Amino acid sequence: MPRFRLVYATVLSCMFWFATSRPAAAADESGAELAESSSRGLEPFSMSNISNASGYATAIVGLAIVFFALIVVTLFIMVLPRILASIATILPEEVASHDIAGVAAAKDDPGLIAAIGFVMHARRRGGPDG
Amino acid sequence: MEILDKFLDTTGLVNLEYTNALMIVIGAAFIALAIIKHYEPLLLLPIGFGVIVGNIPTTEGMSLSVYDPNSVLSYIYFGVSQGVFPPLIFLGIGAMTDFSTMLSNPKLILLGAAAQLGVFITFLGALYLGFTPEQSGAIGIIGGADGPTSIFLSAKLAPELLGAIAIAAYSYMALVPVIQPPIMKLLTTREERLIHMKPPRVVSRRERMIFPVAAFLICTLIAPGALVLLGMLFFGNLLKESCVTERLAATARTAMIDIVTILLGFSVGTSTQADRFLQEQSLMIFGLGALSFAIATAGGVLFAKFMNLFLTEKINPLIGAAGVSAVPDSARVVQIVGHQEDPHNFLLMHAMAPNVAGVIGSAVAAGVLWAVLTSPAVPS
Repeated sequence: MPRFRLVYATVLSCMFWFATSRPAAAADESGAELAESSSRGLEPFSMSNISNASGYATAIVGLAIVFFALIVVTLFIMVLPRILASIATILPEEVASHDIAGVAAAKDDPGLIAAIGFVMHARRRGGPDG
Repeated sequence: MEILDKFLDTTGLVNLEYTNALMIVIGAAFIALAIIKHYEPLLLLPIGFGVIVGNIPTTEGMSLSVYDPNSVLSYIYFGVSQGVFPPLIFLGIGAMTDFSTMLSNPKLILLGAAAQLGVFITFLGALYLGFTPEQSGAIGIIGGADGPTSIFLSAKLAPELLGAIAIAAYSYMALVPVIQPPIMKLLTTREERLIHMKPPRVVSRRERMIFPVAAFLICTLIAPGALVLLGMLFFGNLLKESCVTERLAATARTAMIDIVTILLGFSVGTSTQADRFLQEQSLMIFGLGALSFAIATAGGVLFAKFMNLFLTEKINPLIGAAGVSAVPDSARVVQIVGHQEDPHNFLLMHAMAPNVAGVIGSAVAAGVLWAVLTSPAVPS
């Protein structure tokens, strides 16, 4: 299996090399090269493509916004337990009645506990796959 | 005889070009990988068969191909081209995902943000190679390691590259166990890989219920472009965590996501017709995709090391690699690499935190790119 993956990775690496080894040939920007570039619908390889499209600014601002959003989420999650603790004095978190009944019933039946454990284990093994 | 000649002219055998044949072989290879090697079989098998279907030459005048108006395939492909399927997949993912480990150790969310470095560096790389800003944004999001997000953004920004981007994104997700370990080992010392982390705390039901609503509001008020993806993700999670809509949550994470996966995979496959897919651009996209996965992995690992400079309770930098999303494969890779160094070190639960944060981060990154690159203020 690892050997198969290695072959697959090697093929993709070759494609990567093929795709990215063209800048040297493109450096002289001969007429033929420009014609080929336009035929494939792309600009010639150049750092100026990045600056012309405000690429650096877009990348920096984009990454900063991602960080900002996730930092705010982080801060909110850090504060949330304290907020909930203060709310719990007024509105204590309810434990569902069927949960209590279920635990009480399960205590009487070790076989049921084993069955529930098996089902939970089986479900966890088939977790998210995306 | 004339009728027979006319019929023969319409057969696939007469119209089949070597490029179509090559694509059919590629489709068959995908199916073989799915069946024999179990590489992302839920995706590669529908995509592989779709590739074969999409490369059977059709007759002019008969509305058969995915690109022919009013063909059956074009109606199925509508869900891809208009970005309908990816949010539905996110609904199912939300109904499957347990955010508890992330809620118990929120600082690990930042690793999910750091791994988005791959998206933006690849965006620059694509610009350098001559792609338009819109195409570059769609290619860059491959680094988010999230198939539905890649498809969603390329459907919005560069529909002409959708087939290549989708195939690249899912191929590299299958290759996470190959791409990530060398980078993780290269960027960490043995001492760092041996770091044990404290078990996550128990998260209350209230926290788990409030989180999807609050996180949705925070993320989409900052980046409204992520509204659809994150809306469905957190809606699915609320169905699960509320415990009062178990039937809906169960449907979202089983039957519904399966149906959408079948339609999405198959129709993406049918869109890879040889004349559109076998181009130099596709090879570049595959190259940039590999680059983006590598940079995203490095970004997560290096940021974990950076965080350790300030933390008293050190985190194992290997878990930074799980920030690339690819749920749950990259978290499994972290567990395997950590386990190789120390069989008593269990990193899977800790790695799930940056892993699910990576899903949120890549959706936010997609929203930002979509907003910025469709804005008339940006020169193109």
